[in-house]
Amino acid sequence: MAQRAQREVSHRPAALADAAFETLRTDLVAGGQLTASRRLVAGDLARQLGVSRTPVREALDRLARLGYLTALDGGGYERRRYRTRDIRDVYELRRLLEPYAAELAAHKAASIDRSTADERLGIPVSRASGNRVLSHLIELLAERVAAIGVDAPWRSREPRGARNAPDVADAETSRAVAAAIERGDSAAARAAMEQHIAAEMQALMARDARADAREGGVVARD
Amino acid sequence: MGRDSVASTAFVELRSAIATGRIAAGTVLSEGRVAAELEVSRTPVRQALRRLDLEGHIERDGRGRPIVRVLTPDELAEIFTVRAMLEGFGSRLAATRISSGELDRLAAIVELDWAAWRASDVEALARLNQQFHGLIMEASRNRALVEIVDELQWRVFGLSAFAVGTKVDRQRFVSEHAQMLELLRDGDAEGLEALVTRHLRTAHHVLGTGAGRVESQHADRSDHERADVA
Repeated sequence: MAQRAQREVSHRPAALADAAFETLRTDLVAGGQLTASRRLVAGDLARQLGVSRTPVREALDRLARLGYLTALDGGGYERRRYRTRDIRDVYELRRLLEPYAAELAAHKAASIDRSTADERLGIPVSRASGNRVLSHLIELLAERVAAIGVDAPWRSREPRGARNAPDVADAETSRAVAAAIERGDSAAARAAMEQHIAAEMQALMARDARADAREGGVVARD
Repeated sequence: MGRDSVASTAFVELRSAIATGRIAAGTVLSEGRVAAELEVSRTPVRQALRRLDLEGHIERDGRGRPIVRVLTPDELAEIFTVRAMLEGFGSRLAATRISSGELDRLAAIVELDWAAWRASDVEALARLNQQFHGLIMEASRNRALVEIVDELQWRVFGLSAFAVGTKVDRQRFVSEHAQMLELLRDGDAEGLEALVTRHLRTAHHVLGTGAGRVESQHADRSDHERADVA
């Protein structure tokens, strides 16, 4: 992402697409008005944003690839819906990749920037792993977690503005991961990351189950 | 919407041409040439090139012309390490979840593999390879995995082990595909994971040793501005 942002500063159309992307993504995560429509169309959004359709089209395409939107038959997009299974799928992958990233980072005894939210700890850790591909994929999974948070059924009864990425990460396990990496203990870093992710998934699943019981298993939105 | 679909078709065709090695890494992507080859106007081509650039598949050569990005040995190693983890994991899941319909489709791909091998059609082999590996990932029933591996596939852009390897290498890859199919039929999760991991290590090795050859080739290609898309 950082790499991408850098390369886009150089030419204007890309910068426009990037700005449109950030605006739409922020609005989706916050449950804002811009993306409230059931059918999101490049032309409408372009008019609202005061830009041409091309950068908006690019932004929508990127949001779909990141798991925020689904392309509709006959054009346009809608917010992507997530089920309990999708949560499990994403966490299965995080459990595969992130403990390995923590292990690599510990090999280098890297210092971990903990200024990000605890549920995004995976990102500074993956960057410290030194494997850029691994890091890119872990960032994609973090986006997916954010997208799931947006769509999550347990959020549906809360005011739109309150919707956000799930704040289910445990600060204590997150500290343990950073500490193990910083003292260069790969085995401990791996184990702590496994625990961190398992705890987060459990919290997410528990909420999902509660919301399911409350709403009779229907993933309701709006 | 007509204009949009021309642009996306141009993008998909261009991306596929690069992914299967039809347009090699390092090739200069001249707008006019690509437009002529795809038989579309320059505008959709410009949009397709922009999108490839956005996805990080394009870099500039010494004269500032856009070329298909060449992966460094380090990047290649990073990609294959992660691919082995993901595909190893996915194939382990697939071994117990695959449907009989999917097994039939894989069997059909292996048949086509052998036909393409006999004809030395490396482009078809590269395309079939993507389908084969993609289908196994789908059989894992993990939607996030399918999407993540797909994202990774496009990073090995312009570098197909089938295109770089010798006929003997290709024979080995195809017979390993046939073995994978057998292990999937048997539901042998561990055996399959081990084979897939080994298969990818070999592909990495072939690409790593062949990369030098590709690089010296693309120097010539750049000079001729070769963008043989057809």
